[in-house]
Amino acid sequence: MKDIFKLLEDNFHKSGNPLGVRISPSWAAELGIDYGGKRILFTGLSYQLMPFTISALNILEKGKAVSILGKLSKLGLSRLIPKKETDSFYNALRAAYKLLKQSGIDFGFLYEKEPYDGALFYDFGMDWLVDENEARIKKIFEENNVKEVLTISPHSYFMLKNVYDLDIEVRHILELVDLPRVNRILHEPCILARKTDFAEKFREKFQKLAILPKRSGKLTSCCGGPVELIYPELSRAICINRAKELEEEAEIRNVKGKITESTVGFITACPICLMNFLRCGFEVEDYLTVSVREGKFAGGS
Amino acid sequence: MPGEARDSRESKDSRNSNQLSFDELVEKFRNAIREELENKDSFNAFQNASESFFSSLRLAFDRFPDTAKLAAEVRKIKENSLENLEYLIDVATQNLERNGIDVFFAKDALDARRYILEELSGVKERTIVKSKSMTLKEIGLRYFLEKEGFEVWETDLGDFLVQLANDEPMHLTAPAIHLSKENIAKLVEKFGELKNRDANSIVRLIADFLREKIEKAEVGFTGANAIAANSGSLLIIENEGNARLVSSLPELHIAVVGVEKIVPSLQDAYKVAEVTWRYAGYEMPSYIDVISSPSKTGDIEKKLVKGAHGPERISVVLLDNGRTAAKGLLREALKCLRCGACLFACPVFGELRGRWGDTYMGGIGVAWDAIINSGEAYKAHALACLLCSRCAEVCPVGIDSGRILRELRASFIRELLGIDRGIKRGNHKF
Repeated sequence: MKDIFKLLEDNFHKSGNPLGVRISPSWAAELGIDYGGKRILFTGLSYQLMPFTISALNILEKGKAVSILGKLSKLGLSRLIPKKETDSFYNALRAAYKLLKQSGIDFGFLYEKEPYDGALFYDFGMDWLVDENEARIKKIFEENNVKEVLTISPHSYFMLKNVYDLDIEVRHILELVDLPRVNRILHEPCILARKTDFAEKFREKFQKLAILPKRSGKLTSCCGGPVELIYPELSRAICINRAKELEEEAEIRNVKGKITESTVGFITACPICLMNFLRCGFEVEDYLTVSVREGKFAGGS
Repeated sequence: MPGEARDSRESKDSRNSNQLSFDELVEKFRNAIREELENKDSFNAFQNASESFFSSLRLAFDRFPDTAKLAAEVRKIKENSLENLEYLIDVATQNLERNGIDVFFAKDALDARRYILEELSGVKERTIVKSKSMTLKEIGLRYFLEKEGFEVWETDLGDFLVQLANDEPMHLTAPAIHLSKENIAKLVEKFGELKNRDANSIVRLIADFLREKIEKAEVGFTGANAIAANSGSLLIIENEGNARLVSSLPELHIAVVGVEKIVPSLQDAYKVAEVTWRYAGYEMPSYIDVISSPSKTGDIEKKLVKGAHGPERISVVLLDNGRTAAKGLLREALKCLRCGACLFACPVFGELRGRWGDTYMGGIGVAWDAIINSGEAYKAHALACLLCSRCAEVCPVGIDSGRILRELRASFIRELLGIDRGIKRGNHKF
């Protein structure tokens, strides 16, 4: 375990993210997003890291012991190849761009300089890295004269708004865009529902967007994602049971998206939830992607 | 059967958790997770119990709509009590003694067991009975006394079933939650013939069996849900009626109670008790026992005689065992009323039940394991928390186990890597 924590730290110091992978900002370049600016779109690398996470977890889960984690550290996570699910995450980023643009919001992006949001370090209690990352983010934002960030990931929103002491305006995308109604079941992320001011400020956007299951809002039930690195089997079991709840809800409501008996087409609003449901074999998409494709903004590419 | 079981921690691994490396602790727990995830009977039994619990909770809140308000009051009572804990321990000790109750302050589990053994030195009857109490589990009472040659019987029905199964309790208030009726019937048939294999017959058979043991025992052990410092009273809530028998039929009643259970007044203690049972899913418990002194009568020439119908002597062990030393967010866990609501709300507990935690259970249990220094296993268990904070939504006193466990992680991961930085976020507010 020590090797794993050390690996995460070393990766962070070498490449700025805990997995030690190179994150390409080509998706933003393709969309023609300007570099920098006082208001920026902040991904915190959270969506981009998830395909690598799925690959790593697939190997970890097949391992018999913690020792496999040590072997992985020697192998180097950066050599793992992202899986086909990659599009699910990048489509969410593209959808965020479209929704913001359609709402008339101007923003830039920091491309290669965009810092990691630090969520994994915070969850593991690696607070010295949280401190380091806070200083790093501050420096990058100051150098680029950033005054306002628009977050997409709930974890980025939480880290920048509640954990770091930053002198900038931190906003969640839902504060700025109106979403169309989609005929899907929404899995609400715990961190938005219970750990941020989201519930008070703009949860009604979720209520208008989609069908909310029995366990939602303050009592939304976790996807199991946060324990996937240490206890992947536990994470999977929690994920499957949560998905079953959503599937049952989908059956009751007979909503669009039910693919087969073992899969269900629901939506979520967090890259970690999306990652965990995908790796457990469920048909799931990000709410932003579905909003753009199926809502009134469809065709607005 | 009594004497067959070993110490709870020994029963899970041949080595003490202090002898295992961090990697071994994680690997051991990961294996336990894999095993428990295969236990579909237990999963289904818990899911059914969980649904019943939330239905009962809704009914209880409908009937007593002021419960949430009362819980807020209890939260303040607990916070104030913990701030003045040392003073309250003194006041409670004085008033319990004034009422004729022997009081012993045990600094740890070993200290408590040593004192208890002294108390039992003159006892001839080897049969001992106890009611359900996590604090008695904490000091390993049953296994300890069995090693000392006593025959110890759990009298709470759920705990008794767990004892028969040579297993561990799976929930704070519902220890046999993982056992189906069919499995229970098989267990019970070890010692008696069931006329029918329905719940009524099972309960009747067990109650008759245990009544005989309770009548035979000279010593009965209980915990308590609260201690009122000003009146020197113990409050015990229960449904089965076993705790009142265990605390009143034997000649000696020994109550082992954590010092965090002390509150200033009898009124405060009642409020604590009411919120506890309500959040445990009960509109009203069958019994609320208030015990303030040994049984006594002055009916013959106004001379006080102790031990009329109830016990002649009561001994209260006030257990510290790391409680007063708890720092930072860990101290939050001392507010826990042990109603068990958080466990029903927790997705991890739904999968692992009592396997998550060493001495105590669930996320809050992992925090408690750290408080009572039960070993190093809590480190591996702390890493299983999702930090999703669903527990805090149903906790009557607002404990967020995730916050506590994140801080625990921060502490032992720094230690593991030899880092002396990153301590400023210890009391970070979500």
